[in-house]
Amino acid sequence: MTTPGMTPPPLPDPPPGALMRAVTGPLLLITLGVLLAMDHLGSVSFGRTWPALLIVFGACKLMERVGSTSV
Amino acid sequence: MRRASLFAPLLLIGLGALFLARNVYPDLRLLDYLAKYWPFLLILWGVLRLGEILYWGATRQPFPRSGISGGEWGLVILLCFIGVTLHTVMGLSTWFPNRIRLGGLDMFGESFDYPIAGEKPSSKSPHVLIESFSGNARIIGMDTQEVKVTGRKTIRSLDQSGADRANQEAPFEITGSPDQVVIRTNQHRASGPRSVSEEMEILVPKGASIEAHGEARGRSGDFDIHDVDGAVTIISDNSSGVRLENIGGETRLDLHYSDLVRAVNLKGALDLKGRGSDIDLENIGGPVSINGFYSGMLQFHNLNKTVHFVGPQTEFFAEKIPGEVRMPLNDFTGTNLVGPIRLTTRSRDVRISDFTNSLEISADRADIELRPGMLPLSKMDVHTHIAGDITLALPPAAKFNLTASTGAGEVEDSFGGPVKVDQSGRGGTMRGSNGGPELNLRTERGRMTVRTASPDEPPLEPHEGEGRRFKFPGIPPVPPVPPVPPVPGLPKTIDQ
Repeated sequence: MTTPGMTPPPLPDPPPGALMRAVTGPLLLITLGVLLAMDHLGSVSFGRTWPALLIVFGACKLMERVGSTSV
Repeated sequence: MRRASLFAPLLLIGLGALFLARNVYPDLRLLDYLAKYWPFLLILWGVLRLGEILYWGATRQPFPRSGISGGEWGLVILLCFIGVTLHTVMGLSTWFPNRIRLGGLDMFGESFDYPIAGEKPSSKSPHVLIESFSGNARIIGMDTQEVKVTGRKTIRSLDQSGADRANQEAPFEITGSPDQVVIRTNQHRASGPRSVSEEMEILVPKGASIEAHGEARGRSGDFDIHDVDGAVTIISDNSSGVRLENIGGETRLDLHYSDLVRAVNLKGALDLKGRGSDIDLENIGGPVSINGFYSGMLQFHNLNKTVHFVGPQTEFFAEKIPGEVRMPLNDFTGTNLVGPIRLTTRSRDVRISDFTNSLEISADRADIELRPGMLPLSKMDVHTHIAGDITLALPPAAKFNLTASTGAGEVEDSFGGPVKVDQSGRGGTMRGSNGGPELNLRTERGRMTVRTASPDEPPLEPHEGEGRRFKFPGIPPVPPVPPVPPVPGLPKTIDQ
């Protein structure tokens, strides 16, 4: 119950690194989609580009760690 | 707290819209589009979820533990499986395992180069056999009476000593008799997880015949063969590009997967089997037979004998092709063809101009445009079994006995003369005869048009200029490798 004239208490900040952890999945999904689209539309075969998935995943994990240690 | 994602309802709406569109426009090639563009569903899904997460962050709501849950990853895998299967079934690509090359050790270690060289006197027309190897071979016919090989061997290994050992274990040999010269790389003998590949430039007598075998476990390799009067046979179990120019004898290619097969100025027959992307044939003297699964651009120019192409969804036969045929993924465009011509296809659009002798086309869903051009006309039998527009452009002086009908759609005649239009119910028929050969055209659903051809119509071009562009410039000459000290106890060239 809030008293008139009082502002509600601010929500707590999300834990550090949580944003990166949450966006890792969507970013991987987008990368997978882009690589497969490039394969199907005939420019570069997925057999060649698949390591990009590892790079994106690694980069996300790195950002997650950096985010949680720097705060 | 579990929040519902927007993707599932949007997916349902999208699917509903697609099937509705399919019902309203039956000609729509829904499966073709799905097979090709399904990865955009993944992108859309990822972008939506990213947007949701950023929105939750901006409104200070707690983030979910993971952006995509385990169950959703299961759905992604299922979607990928269905998409890739559809893509394969529609004949747009080969199945994944042939295309993903994990590379094994290729990702690690270093490359070590060793020069190779050898020569062997031969007769004027020896049979040159290149035993199972991986790498590139450039073979050139010359006025000479020896077979001469130069090039380099590349060994990937973690260290120099491992590479040296592999070099000893897989010695390069040129052996045999003057009539049968054998080039042997012994790559399979290299022990341990090392990959050996060879880049060879081979000079052979002009009259030689060539037989080369590509190694299954090796990396992809290219063959580039010029100015050879004998027969050429290439059997390769790995990915290969093949370029042939000025070949006198018969050519047989059996290729596991080829980015490009390009053959120019072949006097004999060409027999091509396998899978791959692009084919480019020009000035072939003998009959051409192609059997396989090719997903890129196929081009045929000036083929002087019969041409028979058999693919998973298209079969084509012509007596010869003085002009050209171009076949990107969903299209067949031909100009100046000599019949009898037979074409069976599931869904390639077909456009043919300036053809003689009889023509037979059977398609499921395809728009078909025909301009016979040359007179007199010959018999034509054209049928689309599900849907497609058919257009026939006749020269003003053409003689024919025409029956053209559509099961559902408009009929349109701007030729006039003997042609009478009868539009009844959902479909219609055009009939007319002035004493020429039978022209039977039928589409189950679509527009049927007969018109007068004007002499200054632009030449036919493929609808989609797509198909993978050729990216095979030929193998560059092998650069010299600085000599390494000879391995004790083992000559680099063994001449038996």
